[in-house]
Amino acid sequence: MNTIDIAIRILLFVLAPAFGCLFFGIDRKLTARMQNRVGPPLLQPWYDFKKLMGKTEEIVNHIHLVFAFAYVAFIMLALGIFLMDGDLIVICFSLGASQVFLALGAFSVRSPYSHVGAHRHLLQMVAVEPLLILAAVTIKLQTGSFVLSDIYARSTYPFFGINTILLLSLPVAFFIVILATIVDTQKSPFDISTAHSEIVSGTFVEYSGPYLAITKLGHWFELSLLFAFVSIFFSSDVLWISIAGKLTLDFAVFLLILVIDNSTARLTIDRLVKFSVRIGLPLIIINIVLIVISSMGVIA
Amino acid sequence: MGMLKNTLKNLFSKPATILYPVEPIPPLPDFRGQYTMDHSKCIYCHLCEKRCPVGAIKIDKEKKQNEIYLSLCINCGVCVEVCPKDCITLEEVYTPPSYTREVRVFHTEPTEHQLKVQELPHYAEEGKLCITKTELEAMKGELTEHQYRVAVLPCYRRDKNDSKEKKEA
Amino acid sequence: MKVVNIIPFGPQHPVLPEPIHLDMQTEGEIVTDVKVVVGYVHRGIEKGLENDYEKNMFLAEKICGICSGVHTSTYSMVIESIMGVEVPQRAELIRAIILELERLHSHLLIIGLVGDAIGYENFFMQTWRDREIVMNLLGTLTGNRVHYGINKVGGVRRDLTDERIALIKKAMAELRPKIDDIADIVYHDYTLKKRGRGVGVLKKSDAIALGIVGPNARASGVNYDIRSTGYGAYKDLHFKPILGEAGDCHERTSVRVKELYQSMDLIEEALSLLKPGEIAARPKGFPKGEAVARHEAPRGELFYYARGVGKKEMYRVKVRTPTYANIPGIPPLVKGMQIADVPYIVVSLDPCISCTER
Repeated sequence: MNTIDIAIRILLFVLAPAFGCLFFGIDRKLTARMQNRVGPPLLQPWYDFKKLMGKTEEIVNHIHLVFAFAYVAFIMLALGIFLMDGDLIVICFSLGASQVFLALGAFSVRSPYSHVGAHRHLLQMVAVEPLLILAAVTIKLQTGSFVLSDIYARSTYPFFGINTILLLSLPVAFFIVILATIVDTQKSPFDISTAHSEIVSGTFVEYSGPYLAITKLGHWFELSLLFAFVSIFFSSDVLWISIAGKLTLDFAVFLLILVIDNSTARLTIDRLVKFSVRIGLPLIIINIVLIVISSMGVIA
Repeated sequence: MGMLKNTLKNLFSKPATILYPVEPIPPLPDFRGQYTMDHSKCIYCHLCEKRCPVGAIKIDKEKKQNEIYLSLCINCGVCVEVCPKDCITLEEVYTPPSYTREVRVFHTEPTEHQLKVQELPHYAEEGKLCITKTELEAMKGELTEHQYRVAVLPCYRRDKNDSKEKKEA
Repeated sequence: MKVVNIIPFGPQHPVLPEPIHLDMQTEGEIVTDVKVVVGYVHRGIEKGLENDYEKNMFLAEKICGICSGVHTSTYSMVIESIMGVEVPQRAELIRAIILELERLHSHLLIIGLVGDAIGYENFFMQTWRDREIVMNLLGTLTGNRVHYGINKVGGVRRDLTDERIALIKKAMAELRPKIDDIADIVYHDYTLKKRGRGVGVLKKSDAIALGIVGPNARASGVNYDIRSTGYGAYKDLHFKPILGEAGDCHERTSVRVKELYQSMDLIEEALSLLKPGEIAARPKGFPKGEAVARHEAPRGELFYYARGVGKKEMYRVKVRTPTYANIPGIPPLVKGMQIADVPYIVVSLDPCISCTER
């Protein structure tokens, strides 16, 4: 890694929330169009953020805020590790840790809505995090490493000159990552922990003013991280093909999530758990078994 | 899967929303809108005043002026039906939102004090009522009871704010 | 030690903009007990109705913002039966057309709100968008989109001219494919069915015992539709009450969707029966005596009692709205369900709280 390389990575890290903000803006605009509405301006999330920052600080208790900052810090840590081509499993766990802090923050206040939201948040983590880690394991089995730089280096598989090895050989892992993205961005049918028409935004209900803005910042980082995760599945030796492919893949996934969001109702938390245990888990285990068998066959 | 089809269809069709304040919504045909009257036709029969379900109309034969309290009016159209001279119409416009309890005064020839009274709510609207409570009390004889009530409200509010500021200072 | 957690629902809640409060005792996600509190928007309208019987029409209209037409229709019916006014057939038919249009928009509203309650924003937007057709039609026919002001004692205030009839026909032709689309989604959408089937089941015996009215009772198989008593123009119109079986949330929504078709058919039938003639009879004297009147409002049975003592002012007017009968249905349905299902159950009963509290 030379200096320019590191500078680019730091720049990407700084730009990550901007990407997240822009993605939320496009999200709101496209969602509106899918619902036959006009929708807010593209930069509406930024305007909201700016306005929230200027509001009076209303604090429920201090530990609540500590957890909010911890949530954002762990998300930033995960993204930092990702951008420095670090270990995939560490990224998964620090993403998980950030979610735990969010739930703990929600538990530290006395609002019943917040508590229900935290319960649901933890349950949804239990449903999704193991799948995400197993998806990382399949990536490891396929490429032989958890470290992203190795993954990029080893996923060379000439398919019309493009290294599509992960997308083509790990469709299940890709599916799981999409599922995790749907759950973490709180989109239908799995917008369960912040279900606004049931528990009034659940986990976030007691944050207000600048501290709500901080959690929003965390959200932007989280969205960037999730889409970065999606982009692992496409890489190429040629730089511009790699970048263009990654962006296309991200946008395709983004559109898919929005279409699903607008064509489904919200399901209940037990349906998410059932979905993950009955469909997600068997699929990914089958995928792992297949990879193991095929690699043994290659060895033999 | 019906919704999936609609989602994709909506994505590529024009939005149904009207961007309201920017793009005005045309009133519906035969819409019962804002009260207006041709005062020169009025014969002071008091029918509309009697039949108005909310008491929003005040006919003053002595001062030769009719008043409509727009904040009370429910645009029901009874006055239009009962008027023997057909001098009342409900214009096909939406009553604009207002900060005050606006009174619209109809008269054939405005006198000086009527003009002054008419302007009262507009001062209040901008939050800078030009007269104080004492001035208003002095003017009380010239005003109808309702106009006095309309004017006195922002007055009290202003007095209250003044005393608050004094306390803070 | 058993931990009892009380979760409030309302009086301010994103899913239901009306003030009803539920105190839900929960264990985890399961609701074990529920207490319903109402009475946040009492406006004393019954007291206010002790007033000039003709002016009352506009106060009775203000009882509800959705079913304002049915309130004035019932009020005029009760006054007309006290005063012995014969309402012309044309006026009765016009009232029926307005009432069925009102049922269309009220049902579309609540079907959309069901979508909102279970996080189906797109469906919500779609139904409310299509509802605009009916609202604008009502605005053109009566002069206002919400408070129509179409009724007066003895008849109606505005006639249906030929061009207005053409407008109704055009709007119905425009609406029918859209309702087909909504019906297709309600009957076949996977997530809607998953959320609604078996949730908030109201058994037929319970529905009768609790006195549930309207589409909620009919979804449980109770054949109770006041329109079949043949008041007003309904004696000349042909229809069969739509009955469901399952009595769950999804069934209640389905029954409402079927009633949309029924309403459109009734409007077309009423239009074909329309003959030229008077639209209002002139009432004579002042109301003296007492009477009751019932109508099938979009939400169920609406009941009016009125008593006059030979003066212009009414002595007493009593209003019993459909939601008043439906609110006792909330606690037994909610008990044992998940918190996530509570908004859906409450909304599927189509509560109109400001109606109830008058």
